[in-house]
Amino acid sequence: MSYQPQSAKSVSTLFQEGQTILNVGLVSFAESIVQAGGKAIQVDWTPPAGGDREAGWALAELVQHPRVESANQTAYSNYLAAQPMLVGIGVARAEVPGLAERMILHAGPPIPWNEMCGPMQGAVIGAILYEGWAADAAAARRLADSGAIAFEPTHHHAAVGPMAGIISPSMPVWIVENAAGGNRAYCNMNEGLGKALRFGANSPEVIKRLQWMAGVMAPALSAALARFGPLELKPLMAQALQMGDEGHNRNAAASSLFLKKLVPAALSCGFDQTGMAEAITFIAGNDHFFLNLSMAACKVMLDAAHGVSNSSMVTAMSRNGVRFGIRLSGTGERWFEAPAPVVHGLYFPSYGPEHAAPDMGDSSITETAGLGGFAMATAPAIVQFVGGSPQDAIANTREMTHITLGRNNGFTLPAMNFTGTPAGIDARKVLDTNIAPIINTGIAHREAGVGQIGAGITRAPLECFTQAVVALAARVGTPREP
Amino acid sequence: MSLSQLANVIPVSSPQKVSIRGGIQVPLIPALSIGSRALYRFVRGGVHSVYRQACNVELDDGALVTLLGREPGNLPHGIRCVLPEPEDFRVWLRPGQSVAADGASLYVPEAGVAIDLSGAAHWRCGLDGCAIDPDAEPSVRALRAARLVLQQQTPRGGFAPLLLHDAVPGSSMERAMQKRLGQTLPALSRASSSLDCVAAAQALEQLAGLGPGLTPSGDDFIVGYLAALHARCSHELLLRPFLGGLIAPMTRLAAAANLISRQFMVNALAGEFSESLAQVVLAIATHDKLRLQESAARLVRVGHSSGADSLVGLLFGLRPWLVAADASYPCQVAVALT
Amino acid sequence: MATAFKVVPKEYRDSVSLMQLSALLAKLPGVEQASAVMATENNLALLTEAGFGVSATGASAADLLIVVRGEQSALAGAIEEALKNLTRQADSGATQESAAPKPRSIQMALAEAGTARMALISTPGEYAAAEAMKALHLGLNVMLFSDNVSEDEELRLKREASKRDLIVMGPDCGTAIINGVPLAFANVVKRGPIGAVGASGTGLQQVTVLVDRLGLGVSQAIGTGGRDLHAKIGGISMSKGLKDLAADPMTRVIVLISKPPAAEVAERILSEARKAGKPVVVNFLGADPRKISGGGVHGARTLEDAARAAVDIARGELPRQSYGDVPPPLVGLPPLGPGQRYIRGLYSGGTFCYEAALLLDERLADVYSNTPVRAQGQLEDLWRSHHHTLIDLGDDVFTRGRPHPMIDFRLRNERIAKEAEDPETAVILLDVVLGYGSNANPSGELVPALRRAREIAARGNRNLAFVGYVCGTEGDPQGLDLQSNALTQAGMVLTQSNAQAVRLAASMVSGRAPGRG
Repeated sequence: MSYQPQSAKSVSTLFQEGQTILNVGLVSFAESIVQAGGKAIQVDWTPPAGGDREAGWALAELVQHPRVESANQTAYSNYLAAQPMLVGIGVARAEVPGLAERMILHAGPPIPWNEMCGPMQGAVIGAILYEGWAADAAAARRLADSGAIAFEPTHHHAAVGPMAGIISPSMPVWIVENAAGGNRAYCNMNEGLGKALRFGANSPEVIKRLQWMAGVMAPALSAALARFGPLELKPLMAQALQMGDEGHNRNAAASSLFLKKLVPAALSCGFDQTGMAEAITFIAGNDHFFLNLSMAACKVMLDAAHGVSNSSMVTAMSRNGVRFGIRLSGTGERWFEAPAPVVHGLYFPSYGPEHAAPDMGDSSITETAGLGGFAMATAPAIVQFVGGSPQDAIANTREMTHITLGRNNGFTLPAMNFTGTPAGIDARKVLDTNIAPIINTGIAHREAGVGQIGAGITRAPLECFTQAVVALAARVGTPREP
Repeated sequence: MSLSQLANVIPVSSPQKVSIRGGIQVPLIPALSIGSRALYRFVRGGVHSVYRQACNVELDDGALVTLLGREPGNLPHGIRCVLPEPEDFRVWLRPGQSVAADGASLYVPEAGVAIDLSGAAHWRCGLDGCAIDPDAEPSVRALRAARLVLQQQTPRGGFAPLLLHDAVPGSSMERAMQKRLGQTLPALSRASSSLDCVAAAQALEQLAGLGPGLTPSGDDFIVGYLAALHARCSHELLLRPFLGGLIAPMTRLAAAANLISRQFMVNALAGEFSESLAQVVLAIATHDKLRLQESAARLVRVGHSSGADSLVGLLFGLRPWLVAADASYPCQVAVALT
Repeated sequence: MATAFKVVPKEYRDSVSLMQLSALLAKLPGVEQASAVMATENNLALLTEAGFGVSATGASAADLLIVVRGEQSALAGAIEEALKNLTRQADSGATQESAAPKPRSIQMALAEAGTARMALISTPGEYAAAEAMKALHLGLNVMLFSDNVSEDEELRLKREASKRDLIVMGPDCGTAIINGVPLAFANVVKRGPIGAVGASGTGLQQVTVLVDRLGLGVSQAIGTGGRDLHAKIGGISMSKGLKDLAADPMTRVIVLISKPPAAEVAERILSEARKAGKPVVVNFLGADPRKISGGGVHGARTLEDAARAAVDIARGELPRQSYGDVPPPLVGLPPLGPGQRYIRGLYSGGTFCYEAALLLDERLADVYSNTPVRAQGQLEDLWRSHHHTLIDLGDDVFTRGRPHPMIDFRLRNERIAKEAEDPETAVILLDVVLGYGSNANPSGELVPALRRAREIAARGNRNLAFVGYVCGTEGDPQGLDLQSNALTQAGMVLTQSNAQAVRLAASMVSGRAPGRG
């Protein structure tokens, strides 16, 4: 409802008969109203912004603010209109903007080397070895300690990576371009399960696999890609959603659909058959292969929405294993951070919460774009991880509709009668309702190199949104004229 | 072309691309077949209603074109396509989206959907020249067999349970409907025997829009009835002017019906019927028992009672006593008929 | 057996869905038969034949017709269920079990209830103002029950409300009656031509209750919160309430209630009242009514006077300068001992206490209170009365960590016993407030306390007089007659209003103490 100036003799809106009264506070008031023949709705109210009064006022000023509403519309439509296309594969140093020669990118908000968690440090060491900047792990560690390597967030370079999210100059990256806006995003390639760099493993076999990926798999895929040209990712992801994927923790359908596209082109592109066979076999064996593409697609969609002044739309959610950070479209490059939360989940046999690393990775970019935990209704198998039922999955998705700007009809959910997935997190609504975005995530072992030990559900910390809203309110300022 | 033949025609080559806006490429969905009343039909329309395997598009001139998936049979006003997985129109299309076509393709820009019409086969229902002599013994056997299928697989609503079974219906609506049928059907039967257009039109007016369903049972019945008359025309030449005399009153009735019923009725007046109905007619005409079993069973499964209601109409139009219960269990209609 | 139907235009459900819908409706309790068919002429005829009388003129074959037959009381719900079934975005998916979550914010609730025009906020004070601001930004009027909202916050809210032509009722607004619906602490009164705007909740209650008892009704009763007429706030809400009632066709007489505002605020309000285009009765408790009257405005001295004047004006009669200056006769009252000379007023409504103080000020000396007027003394120890004492038991001292005395009678009952022990107590003055929000059975709480007090006094060979009035109507949940009878039987003397009770008590003790009498 927006401001409607009353004409001189018109009757006050307060006197409108038959109205429903919104009751915030004592339940008995709502009950009395109904008993007395009126209509009332009880608001299930808790102090917004976790009880922080200043943040509560900042939030109040931003609710229904014309400049914020219009900025959100712009940001959100940019996101909806985005058309992520896989245009090719390249080498990070040549493609990723601003990637200097002695720079390693990591997942999550900025964090110095000495504060990184175990798995991330392990991954960094692995990258140093892969790049050949040091001969062994100990030397790699000393190099990192020395400050000779710059560490920057993937997000600062239009990139994303799962778990440790390490991207170093020689690594092959997916190149995804937004056909509607022209912006590009990059992601590394998925190494498969078990001992992998992204979990902090840096043994010789891990390095060898990375080298194979760069030397054989990437060129093979490149050749195959050239056969079928730029690939529309959104329709493929939409189909996968219909088939039980949610784009973050379940990627089997998308990976299969991708493989279907790939194989005919692979067979006819003239690349060395042995190498191609290795590549196809590798990909076919990895149910999460598509995750990295899904992440790059989401990054490209959200980057298109980023940078709209006054917008409260969340354009990034990410974790570095120590802290959880978010960004808003309207607050530029700032990160709003809080300690990374614990994941509630199911652990693989012989592992438990005491072994778990805190939440880590850029993969929550999928939730930021309306997939993953937001599309949980379409992947009820996920809730098994917290002992839930398909109804819980649907309830979770429905809960997210209350904190988002709208529903993305590009990604429809059969379990919700083909309505679009809730997308475009509005930081104001998160604070106002105290509903935090829900994230489906994998759980890594806290020791470098052990790998995934479980999966589950976690929530973005409200604290991030509190800081973000206060910062946005300061920028938006008063008065409230559009 | 038969249904089974059509199901095998799936393009092998990878879909071509077409650019529909600002350089964005979408894959073209190949159309398998296009009905005669949908061919070269239109330039502009809007999505009217969407179901799993069908999407109705209302054209600017008020006609209907229906997009179909692979499961349903062809329609005169239909375009059958091979949807990508999952094969469900509801994934992309929504009522209100605008539709445009340029002869070679059909686009729904808001849904990012484009259908390539260039490779589609042209489908006609193939009942021209189809002749049924309802009095011939093989025909009678075929008709009985069709009625048996209907009796065994009667849906819960519509006309079939009221006419083919002797149980008294539970709801007052159904009782009233049965009563109405008991009055109208004999009148319609008498009118067609005596080739009285006026009386027939009056009776049809009592049936149009009657009963449950998005296409009311009466409308489906009428379509089946008209199919019967068309099939009998070749043998009973005097039915031709009778049919001709029904065009004007039927057109008026069609105008009052909803978009979907209306299109079916208009098609029927021109002698064009859905593939599922046409298959049954052809099976009766060729006395092909196996084909009749298959096609009748398939027809009865169309819609909730739409297919069954049109089958009732078809049988009634061929021989009215067919929709009375067996002589040893007379129902109201049988008693009313002479 | 009754029939209800609904035409849903351009609804193209496939037949299976329609069948399922009919089946679903037929299973609802109280529904005998249900049907969902396209609204063709023949179907309409069929329905009539089948005994469902529906006349759906203008409906066409493209529209869906839903008909249900059954018990009258079940039909509206069945139709609503059918519509919900049709228009539901149906994200309930495969099962109907998952219910919509309760709204977690005002914005969410507004999305659910499109007709909402007001938010009633009773959260802890430190969050209340921010919630109210959100409501204003969303275009809603606000009733702010919460207190502990700062004056700065109040001003900020009321300025924002003014910009949007909305009203903030509060903070600390305990009473309103909007469109005939009592909100928070309010009474059930008839609907009628008298509108009221008050800075005092109990003041509004007294006036609206009296209007009802005098046979007329209330169009709207708007609260402004206790600080609205301070200089800093400037009467923004009273001004808006006045303006709204002036434009409201149902309202023929307007009543304004407050303690005397700051001078410039009073002037502005009165000048607006004179331009209202309708008669306005103004009760600035403690101000000289003669200085207020004039130009279409009638000044009233007490809450009762305001109510009676408004009723007289609404009936086309001239209002009196004051009503009931003559105290009622002292018949049927227990004889008091020579040492008994003082009034002890134990009030749950702060405005009643204040009004009592004003009235006693002209009649008695040595009056002490925690809401003293003019020359009266401030009661130092609120727990111990001396001389004439009027206590507002709603004071923070009493309510810290305890429910308000209108709800919880324990403190007042203990105090009654304590006053009974004092040999100088002659009359105990009580207000009994009914209506939503108040105690469910005040007489049930009070009667044992009255009995106990008499016993205490009897041990000292004393009688006690209990004088008071019941601020309530027959329509209130507690029932005026029921409550009044119980109290009268317990020996309490009930009058029509606070003013009358105070005057009665004053005349009972006059001449018994040194000083003016």
